[in-house]
Amino acid sequence: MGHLSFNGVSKVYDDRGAPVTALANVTFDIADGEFCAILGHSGCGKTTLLNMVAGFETPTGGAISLDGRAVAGPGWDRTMIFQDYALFPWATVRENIAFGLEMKKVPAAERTEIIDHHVDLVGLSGFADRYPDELSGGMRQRVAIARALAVSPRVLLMDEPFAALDDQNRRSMQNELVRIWRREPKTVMLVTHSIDEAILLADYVVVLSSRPGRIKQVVPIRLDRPRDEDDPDYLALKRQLRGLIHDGE
Amino acid sequence: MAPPVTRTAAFGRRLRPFAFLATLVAAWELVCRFWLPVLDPQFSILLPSPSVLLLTAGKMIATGELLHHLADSLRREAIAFLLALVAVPVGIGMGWWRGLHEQLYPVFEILRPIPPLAWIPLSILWFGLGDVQNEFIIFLGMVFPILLNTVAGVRQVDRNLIRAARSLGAGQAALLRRVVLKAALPQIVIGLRVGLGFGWMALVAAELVGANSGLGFLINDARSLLRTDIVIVGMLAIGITGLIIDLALRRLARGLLPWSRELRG
Ligand SMILES: Nc1ncnc2c1ncn2[C@@H]1O[C@H](COP(=O)(O)OP(=O)(O)OP(=O)(O)O)[C@@H](O)[C@H]1O
Ligand SMILES: [Mg+2]
Repeated sequence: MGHLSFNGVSKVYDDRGAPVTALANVTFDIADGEFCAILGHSGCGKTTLLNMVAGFETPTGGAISLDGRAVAGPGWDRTMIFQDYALFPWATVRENIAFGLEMKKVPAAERTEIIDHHVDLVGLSGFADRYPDELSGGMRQRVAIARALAVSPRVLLMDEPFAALDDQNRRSMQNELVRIWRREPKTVMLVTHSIDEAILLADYVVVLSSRPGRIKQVVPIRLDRPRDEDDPDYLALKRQLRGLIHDGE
Repeated sequence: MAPPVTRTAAFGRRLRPFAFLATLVAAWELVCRFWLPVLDPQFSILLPSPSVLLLTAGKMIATGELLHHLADSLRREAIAFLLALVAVPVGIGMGWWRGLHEQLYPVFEILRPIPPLAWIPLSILWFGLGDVQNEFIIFLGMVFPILLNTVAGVRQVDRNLIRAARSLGAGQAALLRRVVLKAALPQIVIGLRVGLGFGWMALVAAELVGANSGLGFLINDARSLLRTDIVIVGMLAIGITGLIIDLALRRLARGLLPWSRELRG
């Protein structure tokens, strides 16, 4: 299960007395197991949207619900993968992944099994006892993915997870993410401002307008995975999305 | 053939930082032996030579006198330190709950600029001379650096770490104990180091006036007997002990927090 629905969601920040509308009347659904990318310019409210799903912020209008129940506060049914990884620097890979399981009070034996499985899933066997600062950026992001998946969330949230990586690493992490997601299907909400990333990964792309963020269009990506960037359909989608993004600037 | 040469060279390199110090001590010795007696025999009493100091130190160690005073000072420092550790939970609370900070901050801001030494007269009236009064002064020297560093450490905790933990299911207690405390620990340790140093300085001052044992008492007592050699040996003991405390804590912290960049440098 993991059906997310956004119903007229708005967010108005209070910027020292002046109201800042970050998002206005956002309505759409992400069905269980679907991979949704949120695309938009800097400052259009992508992170805000994600933070509201995670429960770090509350909408000032409308409601977000997961499987029919309103989202209230953070919880391990919705885990987040941050751009800066947000790994606990004092904990090894294994201990980072264990954190959520301990919070969930998973028995020790089962915990070990789950950790081993996820270390393996993200391809970090042999690094389980390393500290984050002994790992490369790509490896750290794998740990973050493993940590977020280990608690079996219903929704996986990602805020520009690969933006800090170099091109080559980013590409391999994107492929890796698709591989993991296909092995363990999950509802995924990925924020990005890379058109290519959105087309490579998502089932459909929600394009937001510039501030305040509103839904400009929802574009389904009906291409077989793995996706080929030279495919004429891919290029057509890229043109369409670029048009949407730049339109009205 | 080659190894002995490089080993000697390495040994030489290690000694190099002490070259100037050694020269200084040698000059001191020469001045005391040959120059001061010619100037005025009185001066020899005021500035004993390094060799005399070494002799005095040896005697004081042999009789157990130095150790006895050192032990009393260290015990006071340790007790005050244990008491001053309350600054850690208080600091975490102040860093975490804005309301608590709002209420406590003005109190601490008024107390903080009062030097611990300014408390000596009042504390003698309150506690009399002796251990409790000394420990109170040392405590005051320690508590603010520990508190301020703890508050700063908690405030600097990366917001995403807290969010990540909350989204992984951490409640308030787990968050404070397993994330905030750990993330602030390097800064807290810095506070502990500074606090121990401040406390050690306050200790000597407290013992100068309010004790009948301890290194501070020792040097003040020796002054009245004009035993400058004991005064200087006591001063050196104070300095060296302070240095050892700091080095020990630094090493301990590095062992306990191997992941911390702040402490590694
Ligand atoms: N806590 C806050 N207080 C006031 N304004 C805020 C706050 N957080 C975000 N904003 C404003 O809301 C708008 C949306 O911010 P948000 O971070 O969601 O954008 P974004 O799409 O994630 O941008 P980016 O691509 O740069 O990450 C911005 O104009 C930002 O300045
Ligand atoms: Mg953002």
